[in-house]
Amino acid sequence: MKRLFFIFMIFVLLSPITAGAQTLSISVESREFYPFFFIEKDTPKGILLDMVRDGLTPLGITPKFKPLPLKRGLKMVERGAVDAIIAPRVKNNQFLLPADAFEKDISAHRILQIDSVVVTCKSDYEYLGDIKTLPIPIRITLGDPIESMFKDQGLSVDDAASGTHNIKKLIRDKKGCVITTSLKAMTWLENPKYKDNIDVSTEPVVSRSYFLIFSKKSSFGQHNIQLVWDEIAKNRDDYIYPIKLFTAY
Amino acid sequence: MKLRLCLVLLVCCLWSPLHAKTLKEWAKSFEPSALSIEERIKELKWFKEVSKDLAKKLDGKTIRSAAEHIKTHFYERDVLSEAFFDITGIRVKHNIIGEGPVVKEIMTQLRTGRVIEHIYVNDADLIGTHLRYQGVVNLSEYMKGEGKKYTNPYLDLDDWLNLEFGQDYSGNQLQLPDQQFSNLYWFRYDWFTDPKNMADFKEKFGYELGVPINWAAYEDIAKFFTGRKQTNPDGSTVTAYGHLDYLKPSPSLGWRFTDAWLSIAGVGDKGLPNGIPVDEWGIRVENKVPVGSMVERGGAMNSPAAVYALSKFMEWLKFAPPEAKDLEWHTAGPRGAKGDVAQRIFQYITWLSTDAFHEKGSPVVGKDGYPVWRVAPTPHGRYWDEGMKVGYQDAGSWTIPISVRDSYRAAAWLWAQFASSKTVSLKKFLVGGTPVRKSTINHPYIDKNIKKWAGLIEFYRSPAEKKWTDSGPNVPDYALSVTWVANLEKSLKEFHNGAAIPELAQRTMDNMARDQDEMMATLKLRKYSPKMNPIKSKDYWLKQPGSPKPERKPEKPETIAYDELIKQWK
Repeated sequence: MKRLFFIFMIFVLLSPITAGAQTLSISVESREFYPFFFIEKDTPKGILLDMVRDGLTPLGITPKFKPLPLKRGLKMVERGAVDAIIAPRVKNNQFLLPADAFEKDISAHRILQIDSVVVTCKSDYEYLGDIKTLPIPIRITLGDPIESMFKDQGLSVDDAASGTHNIKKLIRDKKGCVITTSLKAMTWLENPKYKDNIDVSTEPVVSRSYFLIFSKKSSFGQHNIQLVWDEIAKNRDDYIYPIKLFTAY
Repeated sequence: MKLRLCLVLLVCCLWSPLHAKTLKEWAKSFEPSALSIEERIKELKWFKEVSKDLAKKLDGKTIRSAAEHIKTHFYERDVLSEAFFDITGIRVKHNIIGEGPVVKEIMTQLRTGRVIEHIYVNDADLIGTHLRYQGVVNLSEYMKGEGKKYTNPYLDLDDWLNLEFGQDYSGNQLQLPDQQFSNLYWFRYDWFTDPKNMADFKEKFGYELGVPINWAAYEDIAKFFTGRKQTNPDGSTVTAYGHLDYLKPSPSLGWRFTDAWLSIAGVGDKGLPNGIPVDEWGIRVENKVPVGSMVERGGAMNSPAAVYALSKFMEWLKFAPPEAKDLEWHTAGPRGAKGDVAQRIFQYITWLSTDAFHEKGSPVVGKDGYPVWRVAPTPHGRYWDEGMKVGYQDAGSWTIPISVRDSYRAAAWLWAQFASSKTVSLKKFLVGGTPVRKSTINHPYIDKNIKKWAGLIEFYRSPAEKKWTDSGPNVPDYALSVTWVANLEKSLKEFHNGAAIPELAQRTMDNMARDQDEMMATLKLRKYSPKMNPIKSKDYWLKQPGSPKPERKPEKPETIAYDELIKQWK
């Protein structure tokens, strides 16, 4: 009997999350994707992290975010070394995603929908859906999974550590384009340094739902997972919550 | 089998373009119109010519617009978007969603830059939000600059009834009104002019039964009719209600109050359109910067006038049909047409175009086919002073977020202008009853049929119309209305459980004002961001001139004969 209890305790202590535990380990990309996720003074921050944190609050759970490159983060989830990851949808039978994640382009249980848009120097160019028309070079931030979309079309990309590097290069070289989030593009359009020199196309290159994807190996429990997804969706669709959320950035 | 299927598909493909109407056919179909057939053709040809390159560029693309679910927008979706496509080659998907989702979508788009829709019909109540977020296209600048080529030379902005609803403090047009709706007093003219009702009322209250000028008279009339047997033109006899309202927990419960209920009670200051320095939400604004809602900050949201506004809302529920607790603005809208309501202080005219108010055989339509109801000015509360706004009206207005650029912006702008053009506006009004143009309400066709609108046209033609205004530029973020809903819902639960009204109303308005100030203090907006005043004693502010106003004694009830009132409007 004592041996059984001992085995049970070992199992409990080694599992990533336990019924009694108050933290949940969550992988988040280590690249700069301001304001959705980024690292400031060695601390991972961002809107997606805030939304996940607030979604866990009613359950009394505190998230512990681990910044990792996306591929490594996904491997960690697959192995159950972390409970979850913040990422766009990924097909993997070891992952738990909301039921509509692959049925709809905008899932009801996403954390947020994030569009990537095309920023060019002021010109007549307007992106209207054909990525082959994008002015070269195409600049993205290092590690952005969007890279595969361009590679599949035989297009090469330039990557830099941050969007700020990219916009500076665009202004300096006066050619090519920058792929960034619609929110970041909006801040550049307000920046006196850039606003008179750039155009942002209306049509996004890609629009992705970002999810809190759980590992099937996590002991967090399907019921709790659904509660968290529901809470995140409720907050996101609230009138007041987004005011506080976006005001912080 | 395959061959048959192919033939069917081929016929379908051929049928569609063959049945697209020509420009001339569309021009003829918009009859009656403020323009002659030749002028309509000219205007539609302009749309056709200017769109040629744009339509080619946007081939295979769709302009997405969003609007709330009222008849006007269904007409735009079902008729005007088809006409626009046939004429310009630009495809539009006009999504009809609730007003709540429209606000949610546009706010998400403003915050994230993510293009959900290319253009919205968004209430001009949000003008304060838009001028502070700086997230929508300044149409005045666009028309002069980049969008000049795409601006209809026959647009005639001077023809708009209330263009100012969509303007910022400097007069820049940020939103272009597409459909306008006022909130007026609605009553049963046949019952009010019935000799027995008139005599009994005079005997009981000592003054004439008529259109109430103030809330004291409204309350007397509500008392008088509630439980009284009345007959309708269709022969039915009903036990009447003296009032109608709605209080189901929903965003519309918030609008019931934010749509100027406080200012109708007299909460704000004198000065059109919204009250200076305290407006219709009870927000004090200094140099365009909101500084507080609480009386302790110089606001008036928890002032004696605001408490009186909420108290009367609750007290009068005893005169309303019991289902009021389950009604929202859209279910309460056509409720008066059932034939058992004598008057309603807060009637959105949007719903008066529904068939229930006009079809033969309806309890509220006379044997001559005309309504036996009328609309009249909103009665005001005891804190109201001459020089203040009298009531509420707003305009669902075309609004383009700045994230929509270049070809999409131009196409969206063309769609907005087309849907509110002189060619189509009168026809659209006849369907939806929500005018935006003077040429619509002054048209000879309207003269001939004026009885059909039962006072509405007289209202729009009168100079008094300018005293009915929307939530003005002082409201820094329309999402603040959510704090109203949350507090009202809580308060009404206590009300249903028997809480004493004056104390409950004071507590509710105190909480609401505090919550609104807390929210305002967190806002960081690009222009005129709120900056809260320091807290001072209530007494200090109540002793200052204007709003917040100290407690007032009950007013003397006053009424006016409807026919006399109409003469004054003319």
